[in-house]
Amino acid sequence: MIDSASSAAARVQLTSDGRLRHFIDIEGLSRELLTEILDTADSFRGVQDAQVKKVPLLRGRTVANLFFENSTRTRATFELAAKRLSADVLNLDIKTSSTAKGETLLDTLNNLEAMQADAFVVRHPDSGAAHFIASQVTPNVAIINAGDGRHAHPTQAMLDMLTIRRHKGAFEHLKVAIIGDILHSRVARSQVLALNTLGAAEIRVVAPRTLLPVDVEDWRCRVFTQLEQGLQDADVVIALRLQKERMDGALLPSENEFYRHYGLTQESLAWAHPEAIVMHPGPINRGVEIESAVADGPRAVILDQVTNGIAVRMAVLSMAVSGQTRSRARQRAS
Amino acid sequence: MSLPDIPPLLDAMIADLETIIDEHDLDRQRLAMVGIHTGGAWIADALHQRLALPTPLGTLDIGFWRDDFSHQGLPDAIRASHLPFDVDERDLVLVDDVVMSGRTIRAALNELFDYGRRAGYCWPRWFLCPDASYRYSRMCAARVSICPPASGSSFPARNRFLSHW
Repeated sequence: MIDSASSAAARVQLTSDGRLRHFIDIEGLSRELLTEILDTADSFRGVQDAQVKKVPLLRGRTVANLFFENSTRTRATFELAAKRLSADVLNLDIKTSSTAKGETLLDTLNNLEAMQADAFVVRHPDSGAAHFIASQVTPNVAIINAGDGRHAHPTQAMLDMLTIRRHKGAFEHLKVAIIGDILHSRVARSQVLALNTLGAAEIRVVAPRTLLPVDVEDWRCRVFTQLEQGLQDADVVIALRLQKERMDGALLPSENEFYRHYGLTQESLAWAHPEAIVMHPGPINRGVEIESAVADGPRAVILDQVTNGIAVRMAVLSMAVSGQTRSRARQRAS
Repeated sequence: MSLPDIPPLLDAMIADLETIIDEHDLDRQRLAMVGIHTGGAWIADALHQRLALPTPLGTLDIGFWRDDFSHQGLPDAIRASHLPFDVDERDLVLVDDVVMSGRTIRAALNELFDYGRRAGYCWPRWFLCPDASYRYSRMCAARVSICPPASGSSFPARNRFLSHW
């Protein structure tokens, strides 16, 4: 079952010669390909040392940001990434677009494709939206998933992997603890997939039972409900945002209660490895999942994650547009 | 294809570079060398050691600046460029292993523009001859300055295009 899901994901995302053409999910992607994304992103980090932080790769191409759900940093970093690749960027505010006037998603996408857009960056509240667009609607436009429902947020996972690799080197000896609202987190699912593919020694998720998904036992990670055990000797600690907007049941007694038992504080961080790094995908709820002294402390690499986010998004945008370009060149030749 | 005898070729390149440095009165203290990945990087390393330049060696991967993305897509295995010095008002020696169409030179110059305003370039290169044998061509050793459009009857010698390509 997992294998067939994995190969289906690979079929949609990869060209016939194994290159990226869409980036929708970590599932189905090989360790070599994830490493190639990290290597390419690392090279784009180098571009940021120059006075002009821009390369001409996507000059004359158009990237459309289609955000059906609110976002600040993901949207901003995707826009910056596309602009640093010299692409023209179209930010479609869905609330004021034709979809609000009754146009279907299909018609909106077909119109954008007819405008010769080369890539769609899609954020959508429904799981599977990016996959549907890539497989059924506009297969010749590179689709980059910027978060779909509770399913996946692969660029966030890859920027986290880049941050870990730049701070800790190889993954093989790392114990990584992911703490907090696992249930609503598309980030956590993508992180666990990426860490497993890249060969991390031990992956832990730490949360109260009410914030663990029912299928977490199938995630190939260790599950903890006690913070102290989950943090023990961890090399990387990732705190997740408590997604209050997605809480549609009485999953927690209160935020204070959550903070007392699962908040990442200076005191609780002492259980982790003395050189552990602290990460958070943002936006941070200070005093809910993380203490300010930790978020602003010397072990936090949270702002580094933001910088790495631009590089990773430059990498996947250029690789996916490149994959589409090669596919079209091959089709023309044949 | 016969392989070149490396030490004499490096000696010839060093001799040419010394001549260019003297002819154009370049400041050795500020002269910087940049090798273009991949073949140019190791030649640059050898030249840099022999010239004993005080400025650390830089490396450039022009993969993101190539003009064939529309046809070829992204090249494989692009490395980060690394220029461990400020390029402003410096003479740079660019080193590569093969010259074919000149596209790499163009891409390298485009990339270097993004790092700041240089004084000028030297360009000693290995040369891939039509018979596919390697030799070093003195013709390719040139100092190239990027000059503004000539607005008068003359402009300073320093800003002239000095290539004898």
